[in-house]
Amino acid sequence: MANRKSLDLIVLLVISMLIIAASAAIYYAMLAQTTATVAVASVYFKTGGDSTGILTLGDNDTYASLSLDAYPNVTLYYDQAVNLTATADKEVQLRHVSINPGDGDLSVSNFTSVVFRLIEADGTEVGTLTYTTSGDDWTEPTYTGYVPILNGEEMTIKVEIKAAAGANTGVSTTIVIAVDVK
Amino acid sequence: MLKLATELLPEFFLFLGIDFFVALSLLTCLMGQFRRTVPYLYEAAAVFGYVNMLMSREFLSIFGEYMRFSYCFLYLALALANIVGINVYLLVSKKLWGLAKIFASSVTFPTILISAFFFSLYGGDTSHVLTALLLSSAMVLGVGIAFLVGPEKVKNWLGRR
Repeated sequence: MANRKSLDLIVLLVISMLIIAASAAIYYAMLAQTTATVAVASVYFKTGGDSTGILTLGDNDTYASLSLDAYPNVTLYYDQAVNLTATADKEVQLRHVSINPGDGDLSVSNFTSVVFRLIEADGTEVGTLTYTTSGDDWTEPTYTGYVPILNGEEMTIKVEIKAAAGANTGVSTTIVIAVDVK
Repeated sequence: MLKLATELLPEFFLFLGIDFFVALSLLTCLMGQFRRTVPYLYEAAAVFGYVNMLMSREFLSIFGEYMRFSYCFLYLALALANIVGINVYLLVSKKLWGLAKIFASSVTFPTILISAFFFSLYGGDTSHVLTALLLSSAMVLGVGIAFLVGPEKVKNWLGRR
């Protein structure tokens, strides 16, 4: 009788410990919170050789706005539209976010192509985002794929833009691309 | 002013309820006044609480805080009701006044006090702490009166009924 009670107690103790440990682990997991700390961006924009008059950098150089021209039937090159630099060894990629006006808009056919090229300091091209038109529709790229950027290295983003022959003046398009960093 | 390092989640009451059921399971096994299945039933109730906690975590984004608090508090209330029930069983059915007195002072009273304390903390208002203190004072008073009346008088009273 006493042995049976002891056995019961041992079994109950083991089960109890398991239940309490598992419950505590779940509660702790639910309690766990994410802490976000503001830090300096490890990759940021810099003015390039052709940035004068076309580039506006945002606060902390983490945002860049380019105001580019396009000429009909001529490809205009901005060899160093904007530069990218890093304060640590990272990997970066260019990624398409949005384009406006979008597919189906009559003004789209005024453009032929917009190309963003990611180029290393030695001139090696490491990624390309190519936007082309087909009638009133855009053919958008997705992303370039990650490429390494070393601490202190400066990459440049070259932009090639071409409007269609006979394009109307004053027509504009807004392209938003992101620089992903990992 | 009392301030917790981390806020209590509603699931804390679930955790507290699980602990109480586990404690009940071990106590009922040790006391020997109950059937052999009773401790295992309390253990099953603790497992049920654990499953509740798992579900609460999985559906955290779907269940609102009010709903989470409702079922967690209900579970804790069930655990407390069982503790009080055991106390009443020892006193009324088994007529074990001494054991019931010990159980009341070492289990029933502390568990209710702890529950009231954490409930007031969950409210986040110091007035709730005051409420909990008043509640505990009232309970101490009740236990004190029971001691003053004496076991014999209570036994007689129970016998008359």
